[in-house]
Amino acid sequence: MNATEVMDDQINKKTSKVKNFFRKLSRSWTGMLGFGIIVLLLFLSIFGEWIAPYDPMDAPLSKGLLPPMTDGHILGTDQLGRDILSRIIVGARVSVIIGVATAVLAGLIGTIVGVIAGYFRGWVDVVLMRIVDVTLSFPFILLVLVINAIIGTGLTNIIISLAVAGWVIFARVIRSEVLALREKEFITAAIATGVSKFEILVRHILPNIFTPIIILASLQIGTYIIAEASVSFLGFGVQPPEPAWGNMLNEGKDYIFSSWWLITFPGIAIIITALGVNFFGDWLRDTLDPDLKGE
Amino acid sequence: MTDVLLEIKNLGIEFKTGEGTVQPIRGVDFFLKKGETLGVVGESGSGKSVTSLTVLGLLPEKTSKIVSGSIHFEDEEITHYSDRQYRKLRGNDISMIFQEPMTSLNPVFTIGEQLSEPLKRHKKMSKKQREKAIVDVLKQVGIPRAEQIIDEYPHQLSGGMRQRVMISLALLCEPKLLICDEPTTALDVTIQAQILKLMKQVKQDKDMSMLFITHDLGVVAEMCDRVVVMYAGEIVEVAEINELFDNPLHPYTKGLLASLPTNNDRKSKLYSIKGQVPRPNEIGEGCAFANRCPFAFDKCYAKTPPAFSEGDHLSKCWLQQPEGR
Amino acid sequence: MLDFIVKRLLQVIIVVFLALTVVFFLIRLSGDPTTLFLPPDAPREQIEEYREQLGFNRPLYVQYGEFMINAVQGDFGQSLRSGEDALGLVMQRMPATFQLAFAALIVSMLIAIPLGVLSAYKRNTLFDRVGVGLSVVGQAIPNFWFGLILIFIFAAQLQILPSSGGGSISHMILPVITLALYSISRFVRFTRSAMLDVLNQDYIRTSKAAGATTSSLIMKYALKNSLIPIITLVALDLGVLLGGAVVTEVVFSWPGVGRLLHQSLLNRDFPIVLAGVFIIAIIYAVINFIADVLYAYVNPQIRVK
Repeated sequence: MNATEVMDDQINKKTSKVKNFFRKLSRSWTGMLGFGIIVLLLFLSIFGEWIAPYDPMDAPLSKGLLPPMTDGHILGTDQLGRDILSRIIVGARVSVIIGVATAVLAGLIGTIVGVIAGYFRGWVDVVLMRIVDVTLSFPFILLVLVINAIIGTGLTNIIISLAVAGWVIFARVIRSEVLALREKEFITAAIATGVSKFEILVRHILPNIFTPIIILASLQIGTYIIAEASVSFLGFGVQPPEPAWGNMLNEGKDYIFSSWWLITFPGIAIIITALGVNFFGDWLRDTLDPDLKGE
Repeated sequence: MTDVLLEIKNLGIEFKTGEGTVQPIRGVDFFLKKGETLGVVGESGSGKSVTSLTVLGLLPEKTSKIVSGSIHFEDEEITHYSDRQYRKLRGNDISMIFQEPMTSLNPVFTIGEQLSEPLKRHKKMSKKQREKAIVDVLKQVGIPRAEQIIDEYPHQLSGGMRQRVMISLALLCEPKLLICDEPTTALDVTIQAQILKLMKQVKQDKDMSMLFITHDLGVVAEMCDRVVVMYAGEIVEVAEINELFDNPLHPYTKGLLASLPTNNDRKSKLYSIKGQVPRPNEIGEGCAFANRCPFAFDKCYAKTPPAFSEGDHLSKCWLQQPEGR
Repeated sequence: MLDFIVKRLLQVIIVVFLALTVVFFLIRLSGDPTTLFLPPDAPREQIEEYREQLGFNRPLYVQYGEFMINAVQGDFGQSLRSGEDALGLVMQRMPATFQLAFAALIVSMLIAIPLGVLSAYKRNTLFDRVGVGLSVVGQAIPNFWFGLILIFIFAAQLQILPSSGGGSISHMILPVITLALYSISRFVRFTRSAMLDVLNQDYIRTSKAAGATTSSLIMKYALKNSLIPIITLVALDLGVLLGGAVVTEVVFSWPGVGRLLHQSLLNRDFPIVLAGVFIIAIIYAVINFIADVLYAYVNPQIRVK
């Protein structure tokens, strides 16, 4: 086989993997819907500025609080005359960044802690798991709120706050996965043939916990997006005038008696996003690892 | 036919699955005489448990359906029974003992609470009478401290004790028919022997009929008067117990008997039937056993054999076709 | 049993201690609260004087030690704004928060458990699909948004219910529904799957073979078995409700601990924040403890050894 043939072969393998993914996805309408919503969100968060009909920061005060479908504003305008549709489209980026970045950060911390606790056990495990218990024994939203209020607002700080409150779930699940893996025959066999502890960890344990990490991360993203919106709604998190769905709701709540569209549409955007991510995560779990529980 | 208690004719069941329908049993025929113990033998997947659940109307309603045949119990056709009519049979005229004593008792109710259920439902008794009846039955099945045990929970009993409780649950209303679905499979060998002995004795005392489902020919030899051999959802052979062991006709039965370890010839290797039971969706035309049968010939693959009889001995195999037909 | 209780109580103390420690250091590391109370152009001496007055000029470990000693005695200092006792302020607001959380918990149970049982019984019918679908959507709705929508419909448009404040039954209706939404969705799905789990067990088949009716199977046998996991979830959710109450209390201006905490965070009034964290950590740990004891109590496999 020459070089091009090898390459062709690899490309074929790749396409068949992609094909397989879509064949499985097409069997579940919720999975497809979730995947579609995720693709749309990614698209909006990359190309939002070009798609949005208006500049989301442009505030012609004379055009304030226009109801939907007036003057070319499909979803109306807010108190400063900014186009709501444009702000929702551009605001998708904040939700996507926060959801994904938190999942990566929390997943990373949680995986490291979980692997250490599960693999080395002993007093390390006891101490780490106590910390996990303590963190879990505090309401999630409240924890995020307190941390964020103390370390300060803004995109980076809200991601840190969410991750500090959220890594514990990863740690707990990954730890139990590692504990279960340790008992498997192929690990015992590897130990019996004299493979070093570190090598077992890298070669055998890590590849096998990759799937649960991905599933858990995808299931947690919806939670993070809603939590960010809640914290921003309470005046922390992402600050105006940057368009984010949570702070749009915070600003809109003062106009609830006169202008319903200010709060309605950003809320629907959050719900659709959370639903899409959850649908996809559920599908991923059912397809890859039906035994894993999200709770 | 007054001495026949249960008669199943041409019974066919259909299951709905994710990928279409399958027929776990097809054209099953047999009868059970009063006072008789009939063994139903087969590997897992042969349809023996499905048959017994059908008798009590316990198949899942939404995903299964009787597509052909009839079941007569005491000369009454019961397949079209309503749930209410079935409930009058269950635990009263027909009782059932299941395979898993560890999981077949409800963990959050005491033994007494669980045993009083069929009595409440089928018999008019005061609380005192019920309690006495329960303690009596528990003593009959050889449970010590019966008076205390009724206030205990299943997890406080051993596996053998739990199976004794299951048996007493089945006996409470003195049923005419007792269906036992692998009652000893999950137990230790020594406990197995005790339970089998107990069941044999109970059957004689109460003058019941028994339908004994198992994969273990050794247990069959111990317990049964006649045997039905099932394979892949069909009956392949029916015979008296001695006749079956002395003169098996169907190659599958021969294979089963050959795979029994015996004390006599230690040197010979253990025999096993090659291949596996076909799944219900793999069965097409011809004899279902043909692909594993050492004697199979062209006809076996082409056409499903009918039942050939030699007196009371039935077998579904083309080899048994009388010459010149 | 006593062993178990002592062990769990010890755990409660550890949780509260660690929570206070973490929050204390986070607050001290995030900056000096004195600057917030003085004009930006205040002279240096005045700042120093104020710091000394509040004890912020001493080494961190001394401050921490003193804080812990006082905290054990229930003294978290005075509110930086009003000068009132911090713990006292929090305690004053407790009844309102409890009222809301308990009402929401009861409403959720009354609605969700029957729905979940019915859904499991009528599995894969239209009723089941609609029920499960709604609960999936319910879990994706942010509860502050749901509260705002309720205010818009019932207070702004129909004008039949008040949008904020506390004191009467009519004030409670909207906040309770808002707070209950998430728990209802969770309970329905959980009850349904717990019931389905139980209905597939061998012992249910045994009862059926003994002649039990469908309704007694569901109402008596299966429900008692699934109550074990359900009770645990319900007890744990009281904690979630107390936490979720922050957002709901702010939306409806409900005079509870959540709203007080939110205002104190906005004002950087840290004695109140610490007192609030202290109380919530205790309540949360105690609820977890009760959930464990309840679980052990309803499960004969643990209760009867």
